[in-house]
Amino acid sequence: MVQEKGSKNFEQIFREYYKPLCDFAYNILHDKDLAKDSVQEVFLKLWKNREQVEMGDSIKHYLFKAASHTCLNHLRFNRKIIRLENNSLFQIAAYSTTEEAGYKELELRTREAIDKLPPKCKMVYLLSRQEGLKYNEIAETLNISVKTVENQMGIALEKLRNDLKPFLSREFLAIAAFVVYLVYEFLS
Amino acid sequence: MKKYDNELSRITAFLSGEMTAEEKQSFNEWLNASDINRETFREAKLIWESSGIRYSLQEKNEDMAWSEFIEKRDQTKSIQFPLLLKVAAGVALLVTLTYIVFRPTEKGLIFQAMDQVKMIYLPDSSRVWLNTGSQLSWSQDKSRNERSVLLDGEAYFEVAKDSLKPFIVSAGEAVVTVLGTSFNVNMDAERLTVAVAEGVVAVVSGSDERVELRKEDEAVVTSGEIRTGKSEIKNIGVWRQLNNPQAAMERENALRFLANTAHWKKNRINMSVVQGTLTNTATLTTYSNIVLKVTYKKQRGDTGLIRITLDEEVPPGATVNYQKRLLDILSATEMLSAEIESAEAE
Repeated sequence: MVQEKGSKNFEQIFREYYKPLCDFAYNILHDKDLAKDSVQEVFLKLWKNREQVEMGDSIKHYLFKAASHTCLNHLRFNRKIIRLENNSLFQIAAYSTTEEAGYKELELRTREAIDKLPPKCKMVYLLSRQEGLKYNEIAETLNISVKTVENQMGIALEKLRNDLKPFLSREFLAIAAFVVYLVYEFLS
Repeated sequence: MKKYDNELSRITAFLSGEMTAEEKQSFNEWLNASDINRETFREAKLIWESSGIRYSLQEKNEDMAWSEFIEKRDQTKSIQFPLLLKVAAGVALLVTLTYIVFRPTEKGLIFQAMDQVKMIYLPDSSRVWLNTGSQLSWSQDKSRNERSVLLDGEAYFEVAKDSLKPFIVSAGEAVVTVLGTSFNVNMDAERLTVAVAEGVVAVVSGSDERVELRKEDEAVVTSGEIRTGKSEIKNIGVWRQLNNPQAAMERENALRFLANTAHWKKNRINMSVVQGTLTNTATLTTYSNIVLKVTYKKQRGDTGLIRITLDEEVPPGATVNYQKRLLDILSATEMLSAEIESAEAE
Protein backbone atom coordinates (compact mmCIF):
# COMPACT_ATOMS: atom_id res chain seq x y z
CA MET A 1 0.00 0.00 0.00
CA VAL A 2 1.31 3.40 -0.96
CA GLN A 3 2.30 5.42 2.05
CA GLU A 4 2.05 9.17 1.99
CA LYS A 5 4.51 11.28 3.86
CA GLY A 6 3.23 12.11 7.30
CA SER A 7 0.44 9.56 7.23
CA LYS A 8 0.65 6.26 9.06
CA ASN A 9 0.09 2.87 7.59
CA PHE A 10 -2.88 0.74 8.50
CA GLU A 11 -1.15 -1.44 11.05
CA GLN A 12 0.21 1.55 12.92
CA ILE A 13 -3.24 3.02 13.16
CA PHE A 14 -4.66 -0.28 14.32
CA ARG A 15 -2.09 -0.60 17.10
CA GLU A 16 -2.51 2.98 18.18
CA TYR A 17 -6.27 2.99 18.45
CA TYR A 18 -7.14 -0.60 19.27
CA LYS A 19 -7.10 -0.28 23.07
CA PRO A 20 -8.83 3.10 23.37
CA LEU A 21 -11.54 1.95 20.99
CA CYS A 22 -12.00 -1.25 22.99
CA ASP A 23 -12.41 0.78 26.15
CA PHE A 24 -14.89 3.05 24.43
CA ALA A 25 -16.92 0.12 23.08
CA TYR A 26 -16.77 -1.78 26.35
CA ASN A 27 -17.99 1.23 28.25
CA ILE A 28 -21.05 1.34 26.03
CA LEU A 29 -21.74 -2.36 25.57
CA HIS A 30 -20.38 -3.81 28.82
CA ASP A 31 -19.71 -7.08 27.03
CA LYS A 32 -16.07 -7.94 26.43
CA ASP A 33 -16.51 -10.12 23.36
CA LEU A 34 -19.03 -7.82 21.78
CA ALA A 35 -16.76 -4.85 22.39
CA LYS A 36 -13.78 -6.53 20.76
CA ASP A 37 -15.93 -7.70 17.85
CA SER A 38 -17.21 -4.17 17.38
CA VAL A 39 -13.71 -2.79 17.20
CA GLN A 40 -12.78 -5.42 14.64
CA GLU A 41 -15.84 -4.33 12.64
CA VAL A 42 -14.69 -0.73 12.78
CA PHE A 43 -11.26 -1.56 11.45
CA LEU A 44 -12.68 -3.83 8.78
CA LYS A 45 -14.86 -0.98 7.65
CA LEU A 46 -11.86 1.34 7.63
CA TRP A 47 -9.97 -1.20 5.58
CA LYS A 48 -12.82 -1.38 3.08
CA ASN A 49 -12.81 2.41 2.77
CA ARG A 50 -9.10 2.95 3.05
CA GLU A 51 -8.86 4.60 -0.36
CA GLN A 52 -11.33 7.28 0.62
CA VAL A 53 -10.12 7.97 4.13
CA GLU A 54 -7.09 10.04 5.00
CA MET A 55 -4.85 8.21 7.41
CA GLY A 56 -3.74 11.32 9.23
CA ASP A 57 -4.92 13.04 12.38
CA SER A 58 -8.53 13.11 11.32
CA ILE A 59 -8.58 9.33 11.47
CA LYS A 60 -9.42 9.57 15.14
CA HIS A 61 -12.71 11.25 14.37
CA TYR A 62 -13.53 8.68 11.71
CA LEU A 63 -12.80 5.76 14.03
CA PHE A 64 -14.72 7.33 16.88
CA LYS A 65 -17.74 7.96 14.73
CA ALA A 66 -17.66 4.47 13.21
CA ALA A 67 -17.31 2.96 16.68
CA SER A 68 -20.32 4.95 17.89
CA HIS A 69 -22.44 3.67 15.02
CA THR A 70 -21.32 0.10 15.45
CA CYS A 71 -21.96 0.19 19.18
CA LEU A 72 -25.37 1.72 18.68
CA ASN A 73 -26.27 -1.04 16.24
CA HIS A 74 -25.11 -3.67 18.67
CA LEU A 75 -27.05 -2.07 21.50
CA ARG A 76 -30.17 -2.45 19.42
CA PHE A 77 -29.38 -5.80 17.91
CA ASN A 78 -28.27 -7.48 21.11
CA ARG A 79 -31.13 -6.54 23.32
CA LYS A 80 -30.27 -7.93 26.68
CA ILE A 81 -30.25 -6.27 30.06
CA ILE A 82 -26.66 -5.52 30.84
CA ARG A 83 -25.63 -6.22 34.40
CA LEU A 84 -22.63 -4.87 36.18
CA GLU A 85 -19.83 -7.38 35.96
CA ASN A 86 -18.19 -6.33 39.20
CA ASN A 87 -20.37 -5.05 41.95
CA SER A 88 -19.98 -5.35 45.65
CA LEU A 89 -20.32 -3.22 48.72
CA PHE A 90 -16.80 -4.17 49.58
CA GLN A 91 -15.72 -1.63 47.02
CA ILE A 92 -17.49 1.02 49.03
CA ALA A 93 -15.78 0.10 52.25
CA ALA A 94 -12.48 0.77 50.59
CA TYR A 95 -13.07 4.51 50.47
CA SER A 96 -11.57 6.61 53.17
CA THR A 97 -14.20 9.23 53.79
CA THR A 98 -17.70 8.25 54.76
CA GLU A 99 -19.26 11.00 52.71
CA GLU A 100 -17.53 9.68 49.64
CA ALA A 101 -18.85 6.22 50.44
CA GLY A 102 -22.47 7.24 50.23
CA TYR A 103 -21.82 8.72 46.86
CA LYS A 104 -20.02 5.62 45.62
CA GLU A 105 -23.12 3.50 46.20
CA LEU A 106 -25.07 5.98 44.14
CA GLU A 107 -22.44 5.90 41.43
CA LEU A 108 -22.73 2.16 41.09
CA ARG A 109 -26.49 2.32 41.02
CA THR A 110 -26.39 5.09 38.47
CA ARG A 111 -24.07 3.15 36.22
CA GLU A 112 -26.42 0.20 36.48
CA ALA A 113 -29.34 2.44 35.54
CA ILE A 114 -27.43 3.93 32.60
CA ASP A 115 -26.93 0.45 31.23
CA LYS A 116 -30.68 0.00 31.18
CA LEU A 117 -31.38 3.06 29.05
CA PRO A 118 -32.72 2.51 25.53
CA PRO A 119 -29.92 2.28 22.92
CA LYS A 120 -29.93 5.73 21.38
CA CYS A 121 -30.67 7.41 24.68
CA LYS A 122 -27.74 5.65 26.33
CA MET A 123 -25.42 6.57 23.49
CA VAL A 124 -26.34 10.23 23.65
CA TYR A 125 -26.01 10.37 27.42
CA LEU A 126 -22.62 8.68 27.51
CA LEU A 127 -21.25 10.78 24.68
CA SER A 128 -22.29 13.90 26.50
CA ARG A 129 -21.57 13.09 30.09
CA GLN A 130 -18.53 10.86 29.73
CA GLU A 131 -16.96 11.72 26.40
CA GLY A 132 -17.65 15.39 26.92
CA LEU A 133 -19.08 15.97 23.47
CA LYS A 134 -21.15 19.05 22.76
CA TYR A 135 -24.68 18.54 21.49
CA ASN A 136 -23.82 19.48 17.93
CA GLU A 137 -20.89 17.05 18.01
CA ILE A 138 -23.14 14.25 19.24
CA ALA A 139 -25.64 15.11 16.52
CA GLU A 140 -22.94 14.90 13.87
CA THR A 141 -21.54 11.65 15.23
CA LEU A 142 -24.88 9.86 15.30
CA ASN A 143 -26.49 11.56 12.29
CA ILE A 144 -29.37 12.95 14.28
CA SER A 145 -30.61 16.47 14.94
CA VAL A 146 -29.50 18.62 17.85
CA LYS A 147 -33.11 18.75 18.95
CA THR A 148 -33.16 14.97 19.20
CA VAL A 149 -29.97 15.06 21.27
CA GLU A 150 -31.58 17.59 23.59
CA ASN A 151 -34.69 15.48 23.99
CA GLN A 152 -32.76 12.28 24.47
CA MET A 153 -30.77 13.88 27.26
CA GLY A 154 -34.04 14.84 28.93
CA ILE A 155 -35.37 11.31 28.49
CA ALA A 156 -32.18 9.90 29.96
CA LEU A 157 -32.44 11.99 33.09
CA GLU A 158 -36.10 11.17 33.46
CA LYS A 159 -35.50 7.43 33.29
CA LEU A 160 -32.49 7.63 35.55
CA ARG A 161 -34.42 9.64 38.06
CA ASN A 162 -37.19 7.05 38.09
CA ASP A 163 -34.75 4.21 38.57
CA LEU A 164 -32.72 5.96 41.21
CA LYS A 165 -35.49 7.63 43.20
CA PRO A 166 -34.84 5.77 46.45
CA PHE A 167 -31.16 6.56 46.32
CA LEU A 168 -31.43 10.25 45.74
CA SER A 169 -32.96 11.27 49.01
CA ARG A 170 -30.73 13.02 51.48
CA GLU A 171 -31.67 10.45 54.12
CA PHE A 172 -30.40 7.60 52.02
CA LEU A 173 -27.06 9.24 51.49
CA ALA A 174 -26.68 9.85 55.19
CA ILE A 175 -27.61 6.30 56.17
CA ALA A 176 -25.37 4.75 53.51
CA ALA A 177 -22.51 6.82 54.77
CA PHE A 178 -23.23 5.78 58.32
CA VAL A 179 -23.36 2.06 57.49
CA VAL A 180 -20.04 2.25 55.75
CA TYR A 181 -18.59 4.13 58.67
CA LEU A 182 -19.57 1.22 60.91
CA VAL A 183 -18.06 -1.33 58.56
CA TYR A 184 -14.90 0.71 58.35
CA GLU A 185 -14.66 0.94 62.07
CA PHE A 186 -15.27 -2.77 62.42
CA LEU A 187 -12.57 -3.69 59.96
CA SER A 188 -9.90 -1.45 61.31
CA MET B 1 -35.57 32.68 23.42
CA LYS B 2 -34.92 28.98 23.16
CA LYS B 3 -37.74 26.65 24.02
CA TYR B 4 -37.08 23.29 25.64
CA ASP B 5 -39.56 20.45 25.34
CA ASN B 6 -39.48 19.71 29.02
CA GLU B 7 -37.79 20.57 32.28
CA LEU B 8 -35.26 17.79 32.24
CA SER B 9 -34.02 18.60 28.73
CA ARG B 10 -33.51 22.09 30.00
CA ILE B 11 -31.70 20.98 33.11
CA THR B 12 -29.44 18.63 31.18
CA ALA B 13 -28.63 21.37 28.70
CA PHE B 14 -27.59 23.48 31.63
CA LEU B 15 -25.52 20.72 33.23
CA SER B 16 -23.71 19.89 30.02
CA GLY B 17 -22.77 23.50 29.43
CA GLU B 18 -24.90 24.01 26.34
CA MET B 19 -26.53 27.22 27.49
CA THR B 20 -25.67 30.74 26.55
CA ALA B 21 -25.24 33.32 29.31
CA GLU B 22 -28.72 34.57 28.60
CA GLU B 23 -30.22 31.12 28.84
CA LYS B 24 -28.39 30.50 32.09
CA GLN B 25 -29.87 33.65 33.48
CA SER B 26 -33.34 32.49 32.54
CA PHE B 27 -32.55 29.11 34.05
CA ASN B 28 -31.57 30.64 37.38
CA GLU B 29 -34.84 32.49 37.44
CA TRP B 30 -36.63 29.21 36.92
CA LEU B 31 -34.66 27.68 39.80
CA ASN B 32 -35.57 30.48 42.14
CA ALA B 33 -39.21 30.24 41.21
CA SER B 34 -40.11 27.22 43.39
CA ASP B 35 -38.92 24.53 45.78
CA ILE B 36 -40.01 21.83 43.38
CA ASN B 37 -37.81 23.24 40.67
CA ARG B 38 -34.87 23.31 42.98
CA GLU B 39 -35.50 19.78 44.18
CA THR B 40 -35.75 18.50 40.61
CA PHE B 41 -32.51 20.23 39.86
CA ARG B 42 -30.82 18.82 42.95
CA GLU B 43 -31.74 15.29 41.97
CA ALA B 44 -30.71 15.78 38.36
CA LYS B 45 -27.41 17.30 39.39
CA LEU B 46 -26.78 14.43 41.78
CA ILE B 47 -27.36 11.89 39.03
CA TRP B 48 -25.20 13.88 36.66
CA GLU B 49 -22.37 13.95 39.13
CA SER B 50 -22.74 10.24 39.88
CA SER B 51 -22.53 9.23 36.25
CA GLY B 52 -18.78 9.01 36.20
CA ILE B 53 -18.17 5.26 36.28
CA ARG B 54 -16.47 4.09 33.09
CA TYR B 55 -15.80 0.52 32.27
CA SER B 56 -12.41 -0.25 30.87
CA LEU B 57 -11.56 -3.39 28.95
CA GLN B 58 -7.89 -3.34 29.86
CA GLU B 59 -6.69 -5.29 26.89
CA LYS B 60 -3.15 -6.43 27.46
CA ASN B 61 -1.87 -6.21 23.95
CA GLU B 62 -3.13 -5.85 20.48
CA ASP B 63 -0.99 -8.48 18.74
CA MET B 64 -3.65 -11.13 18.93
CA ALA B 65 -6.25 -8.64 17.84
CA TRP B 66 -4.15 -7.68 14.86
CA SER B 67 -3.85 -11.33 13.76
CA GLU B 68 -7.56 -11.73 14.19
CA PHE B 69 -8.11 -8.65 12.07
CA ILE B 70 -5.88 -9.95 9.27
CA GLU B 71 -7.78 -13.21 9.31
CA LYS B 72 -11.15 -11.51 9.05
CA ARG B 73 -9.95 -9.11 6.43
CA ASP B 74 -8.77 -11.90 4.18
CA GLN B 75 -11.89 -13.96 4.80
CA THR B 76 -14.21 -11.37 3.33
CA LYS B 77 -12.38 -11.58 0.04
CA SER B 78 -13.22 -15.28 -0.22
CA ILE B 79 -14.94 -16.81 -3.22
CA GLN B 80 -18.70 -16.85 -3.40
CA PHE B 81 -20.29 -20.23 -3.83
CA PRO B 82 -23.71 -21.51 -4.74
CA LEU B 83 -26.05 -22.12 -1.89
CA LEU B 84 -28.69 -24.77 -1.33
CA LEU B 85 -31.61 -23.37 0.59
CA LYS B 86 -34.14 -25.03 2.77
CA VAL B 87 -37.41 -25.07 0.85
CA ALA B 88 -41.01 -25.64 1.82
CA ALA B 89 -42.69 -28.71 0.30
CA GLY B 90 -44.00 -28.12 -3.19
CA VAL B 91 -42.05 -24.99 -3.93
CA ALA B 92 -39.58 -25.13 -6.78
CA LEU B 93 -35.92 -25.12 -5.84
CA LEU B 94 -34.13 -21.88 -6.35
CA VAL B 95 -31.85 -21.88 -9.38
CA THR B 96 -28.18 -21.02 -9.87
CA LEU B 97 -27.11 -18.64 -7.20
CA THR B 98 -23.78 -17.37 -8.28
CA TYR B 99 -24.08 -14.11 -6.45
CA ILE B 100 -25.16 -15.06 -2.98
CA VAL B 101 -22.62 -14.72 -0.21
CA PHE B 102 -23.40 -16.85 2.79
CA ARG B 103 -21.10 -16.44 5.75
CA PRO B 104 -21.85 -18.21 9.01
CA THR B 105 -20.40 -16.29 11.93
CA GLU B 106 -20.32 -17.04 15.63
CA LYS B 107 -23.37 -14.93 16.12
CA GLY B 108 -25.53 -15.97 13.19
CA LEU B 109 -25.97 -15.81 9.44
CA ILE B 110 -25.34 -13.03 6.96
CA PHE B 111 -27.05 -12.81 3.58
CA GLN B 112 -26.23 -10.43 0.75
CA ALA B 113 -27.88 -9.65 -2.55
CA MET B 114 -25.58 -8.19 -5.19
CA ASP B 115 -27.15 -7.28 -8.51
CA GLN B 116 -30.08 -9.66 -8.35
CA VAL B 117 -33.04 -9.99 -6.04
CA LYS B 118 -32.51 -12.91 -3.68
CA MET B 119 -35.10 -14.98 -1.91
CA ILE B 120 -33.98 -16.52 1.34
CA TYR B 121 -35.50 -18.91 3.86
CA LEU B 122 -34.53 -18.11 7.43
CA PRO B 123 -34.06 -20.92 9.93
CA ASP B 124 -37.49 -20.26 11.41
CA SER B 125 -39.12 -20.79 7.98
CA SER B 126 -39.73 -17.09 7.44
CA ARG B 127 -39.12 -16.01 3.88
CA VAL B 128 -37.25 -12.87 2.89
CA TRP B 129 -36.62 -11.24 -0.47
CA LEU B 130 -33.52 -9.05 -0.52
CA ASN B 131 -33.32 -6.23 -3.02
CA THR B 132 -30.15 -5.64 -5.00
CA GLY B 133 -27.28 -4.29 -2.96
CA SER B 134 -28.89 -5.18 0.35
CA GLN B 135 -27.66 -7.19 3.28
CA LEU B 136 -29.37 -9.06 6.09
CA SER B 137 -28.00 -10.62 9.29
CA TRP B 138 -29.90 -13.21 11.28
CA SER B 139 -29.14 -13.84 14.91
CA GLN B 140 -29.19 -17.45 16.00
CA ASP B 141 -28.92 -17.01 19.75
CA LYS B 142 -31.41 -19.56 21.05
CA SER B 143 -31.24 -18.30 24.60
CA ARG B 144 -33.12 -15.15 23.72
CA ASN B 145 -36.81 -15.28 23.19
CA GLU B 146 -36.70 -13.39 19.93
CA ARG B 147 -35.91 -13.82 16.28
CA SER B 148 -33.63 -10.95 15.29
CA VAL B 149 -32.66 -9.58 11.95
CA LEU B 150 -30.46 -6.61 11.02
CA LEU B 151 -31.19 -5.05 7.64
CA ASP B 152 -29.14 -2.76 5.47
CA GLY B 153 -31.07 -1.83 2.30
CA GLU B 154 -34.47 -3.17 1.30
CA ALA B 155 -36.25 -6.44 2.02
CA TYR B 156 -39.73 -7.93 1.88
CA PHE B 157 -40.54 -10.21 4.77
CA GLU B 158 -43.01 -13.08 5.08
CA VAL B 159 -42.68 -13.97 8.70
CA ALA B 160 -43.64 -17.40 9.98
CA LYS B 161 -46.06 -17.17 12.88
CA ASP B 162 -44.60 -17.79 16.30
CA SER B 163 -46.53 -16.04 19.00
CA LEU B 164 -43.91 -16.94 21.57
CA LYS B 165 -41.05 -15.34 19.73
CA PRO B 166 -41.48 -11.89 18.27
CA PHE B 167 -39.66 -11.26 15.01
CA ILE B 168 -37.55 -8.14 15.20
CA VAL B 169 -36.06 -6.21 12.31
CA SER B 170 -33.50 -3.54 13.12
CA ALA B 171 -32.77 -1.13 10.31
CA GLY B 172 -31.00 2.18 10.74
CA GLU B 173 -32.84 4.16 13.36
CA ALA B 174 -35.86 1.97 13.81
CA VAL B 175 -36.87 -1.41 15.16
CA VAL B 176 -39.80 -3.34 13.67
CA THR B 177 -41.49 -6.04 15.76
CA VAL B 178 -43.96 -8.51 14.33
CA LEU B 179 -45.62 -11.74 15.30
CA GLY B 180 -46.36 -13.19 11.90
CA THR B 181 -47.03 -11.16 8.84
CA SER B 182 -45.88 -9.77 5.46
CA PHE B 183 -44.27 -6.39 5.09
CA ASN B 184 -41.62 -4.39 3.27
CA VAL B 185 -38.76 -2.49 4.89
CA ASN B 186 -36.67 -0.02 2.94
CA MET B 187 -33.77 1.84 4.48
CA ASP B 188 -31.93 4.42 2.43
CA ALA B 189 -29.71 7.37 3.25
CA GLU B 190 -32.58 9.67 4.14
CA ARG B 191 -35.40 7.61 5.53
CA LEU B 192 -36.73 4.28 6.58
CA THR B 193 -40.04 3.11 5.11
CA VAL B 194 -42.14 0.23 6.40
CA ALA B 195 -45.24 -0.92 4.50
CA VAL B 196 -47.50 -3.75 5.64
CA ALA B 197 -49.17 -6.23 3.30
CA GLU B 198 -50.66 -8.40 6.00
CA GLY B 199 -50.71 -8.66 9.76
CA VAL B 200 -49.70 -6.17 12.41
CA VAL B 201 -46.32 -4.55 12.70
CA ALA B 202 -44.94 -2.24 15.38
CA VAL B 203 -42.31 0.30 14.42
CA VAL B 204 -40.21 2.01 17.08
CA SER B 205 -38.01 4.89 16.03
CA GLY B 206 -34.64 5.85 17.39
CA SER B 207 -36.27 8.39 19.67
CA ASP B 208 -38.63 5.71 21.01
CA GLU B 209 -41.70 6.92 19.18
CA ARG B 210 -43.94 3.93 18.50
CA VAL B 211 -46.53 3.26 15.85
CA GLU B 212 -48.65 0.21 14.99
CA LEU B 213 -49.27 -0.56 11.35
CA ARG B 214 -51.87 -2.75 9.76
CA LYS B 215 -52.63 -3.92 6.25
CA GLU B 216 -51.84 -1.25 3.69
CA ASP B 217 -50.44 1.11 6.32
CA GLU B 218 -47.08 2.63 5.74
CA ALA B 219 -44.68 4.48 8.05
CA VAL B 220 -41.81 6.74 7.07
CA VAL B 221 -39.16 7.32 9.73
CA THR B 222 -36.82 10.30 9.40
CA SER B 223 -34.57 11.77 12.08
CA GLY B 224 -36.50 9.94 14.74
CA GLU B 225 -39.92 11.17 13.62
CA ILE B 226 -42.54 8.80 12.28
CA ARG B 227 -45.17 9.77 9.71
CA THR B 228 -47.86 7.29 8.71
CA GLY B 229 -49.77 6.96 5.47
CA LYS B 230 -51.30 4.43 3.10
CA SER B 231 -49.80 2.10 0.55
CA GLU B 232 -51.67 -0.16 -1.86
CA ILE B 233 -50.89 -3.84 -1.52
CA LYS B 234 -50.08 -4.26 -5.17
CA ASN B 235 -47.25 -1.74 -4.80
CA ILE B 236 -45.72 -3.23 -1.67
CA GLY B 237 -42.63 -5.22 -2.54
CA VAL B 238 -43.24 -4.83 -6.25
CA TRP B 239 -39.47 -4.48 -6.77
CA ARG B 240 -39.24 -8.23 -6.27
CA GLN B 241 -40.40 -8.70 -9.85
CA LEU B 242 -37.40 -6.82 -11.24
CA ASN B 243 -33.80 -8.04 -11.35
CA ASN B 244 -35.10 -11.35 -10.18
CA PRO B 245 -34.32 -14.35 -12.38
CA GLN B 246 -36.65 -16.49 -10.32
CA ALA B 247 -39.58 -14.17 -11.01
CA ALA B 248 -38.74 -14.02 -14.71
CA MET B 249 -38.65 -17.78 -14.91
CA GLU B 250 -41.99 -18.05 -13.15
CA ARG B 251 -43.61 -15.74 -15.64
CA GLU B 252 -42.31 -17.67 -18.61
CA ASN B 253 -42.86 -21.19 -17.33
CA ALA B 254 -46.30 -21.10 -15.81
CA LEU B 255 -46.80 -24.79 -16.31
CA ARG B 256 -43.88 -25.62 -14.08
CA PHE B 257 -45.37 -23.82 -11.14
CA LEU B 258 -48.93 -24.98 -11.22
CA ALA B 259 -49.43 -28.27 -9.43
CA ASN B 260 -52.50 -30.17 -10.53
CA THR B 261 -54.41 -32.92 -8.80
CA ALA B 262 -57.28 -34.31 -10.80
CA HIS B 263 -59.89 -37.00 -10.14
CA TRP B 264 -62.52 -38.49 -12.27
CA LYS B 265 -65.59 -40.14 -10.96
CA LYS B 266 -69.10 -41.01 -11.92
CA ASN B 267 -71.72 -39.38 -9.75
CA ARG B 268 -75.02 -40.87 -8.67
CA ILE B 269 -76.71 -40.26 -11.94
CA ASN B 270 -73.71 -41.63 -13.78
CA MET B 271 -72.39 -38.37 -15.01
CA SER B 272 -68.66 -38.06 -15.21
CA VAL B 273 -67.28 -35.41 -12.97
CA VAL B 274 -63.75 -34.15 -13.38
CA GLN B 275 -62.60 -32.32 -10.34
CA GLY B 276 -59.37 -31.28 -8.79
CA THR B 277 -57.20 -28.57 -7.39
CA LEU B 278 -54.56 -26.32 -8.80
CA THR B 279 -51.84 -24.99 -6.52
CA ASN B 280 -49.59 -22.12 -7.43
CA THR B 281 -46.14 -23.02 -6.22
CA ALA B 282 -44.44 -19.90 -7.55
CA THR B 283 -42.99 -17.36 -5.13
CA LEU B 284 -44.18 -14.11 -6.67
CA THR B 285 -46.23 -14.65 -9.79
CA THR B 286 -50.01 -14.78 -9.97
CA TYR B 287 -51.50 -16.85 -12.75
CA SER B 288 -54.88 -16.46 -14.39
CA ASN B 289 -56.84 -17.77 -17.37
CA ILE B 290 -55.55 -21.24 -16.71
CA VAL B 291 -56.68 -23.76 -19.28
CA LEU B 292 -56.84 -27.45 -18.47
CA LYS B 293 -56.98 -29.98 -21.20
CA VAL B 294 -58.77 -33.18 -20.24
CA THR B 295 -58.48 -36.15 -22.55
CA TYR B 296 -60.81 -39.05 -22.01
CA LYS B 297 -61.73 -42.34 -23.52
CA LYS B 298 -65.24 -42.75 -24.87
CA GLN B 299 -67.04 -45.91 -25.63
CA ARG B 300 -65.72 -47.77 -28.61
CA GLY B 301 -62.23 -46.52 -27.89
CA ASP B 302 -62.57 -42.99 -29.22
CA THR B 303 -60.91 -40.26 -27.35
CA GLY B 304 -62.54 -37.01 -26.54
CA LEU B 305 -61.21 -33.73 -25.39
CA ILE B 306 -62.63 -31.08 -23.16
CA ARG B 307 -61.13 -27.89 -21.91
CA ILE B 308 -61.68 -26.31 -18.55
CA THR B 309 -60.83 -22.66 -18.19
CA LEU B 310 -60.35 -21.06 -14.83
CA ASP B 311 -60.39 -17.35 -15.20
CA GLU B 312 -59.86 -16.48 -11.57
CA GLU B 313 -56.49 -15.24 -10.38
CA VAL B 314 -54.36 -17.63 -8.42
CA PRO B 315 -51.78 -15.85 -6.29
CA PRO B 316 -48.57 -17.51 -5.09
CA GLY B 317 -49.23 -20.24 -2.57
CA ALA B 318 -52.96 -20.33 -3.27
CA THR B 319 -55.05 -23.31 -4.33
CA VAL B 320 -58.21 -23.25 -6.44
CA ASN B 321 -60.76 -25.96 -7.02
CA TYR B 322 -62.29 -26.83 -10.32
CA GLN B 323 -65.02 -29.12 -11.47
CA LYS B 324 -66.62 -30.05 -14.76
CA ARG B 325 -69.43 -32.39 -15.59
CA LEU B 326 -69.74 -34.31 -18.79
CA LEU B 327 -73.02 -35.15 -20.46
CA ASP B 328 -72.29 -38.83 -20.60
CA ILE B 329 -74.89 -40.42 -18.41
CA LEU B 330 -75.32 -43.33 -20.66
CA SER B 331 -71.73 -44.15 -21.42
CA ALA B 332 -68.77 -45.54 -19.59
CA THR B 333 -66.05 -43.01 -19.94
CA GLU B 334 -62.77 -42.78 -18.18
CA MET B 335 -60.17 -40.08 -17.96
CA LEU B 336 -56.89 -40.41 -19.67
CA SER B 337 -55.17 -37.28 -18.62
CA ALA B 338 -55.81 -33.89 -17.25
CA GLU B 339 -53.03 -31.47 -18.04
CA ILE B 340 -52.54 -27.78 -17.74
CA GLU B 341 -52.33 -26.49 -21.24
CA SER B 342 -51.69 -22.81 -20.71
CA ALA B 343 -51.81 -20.03 -18.19
CA GLU B 344 -51.22 -16.33 -18.17
CA ALA B 345 -48.89 -14.62 -15.78
CA GLU B 346 -49.59 -11.09 -14.76
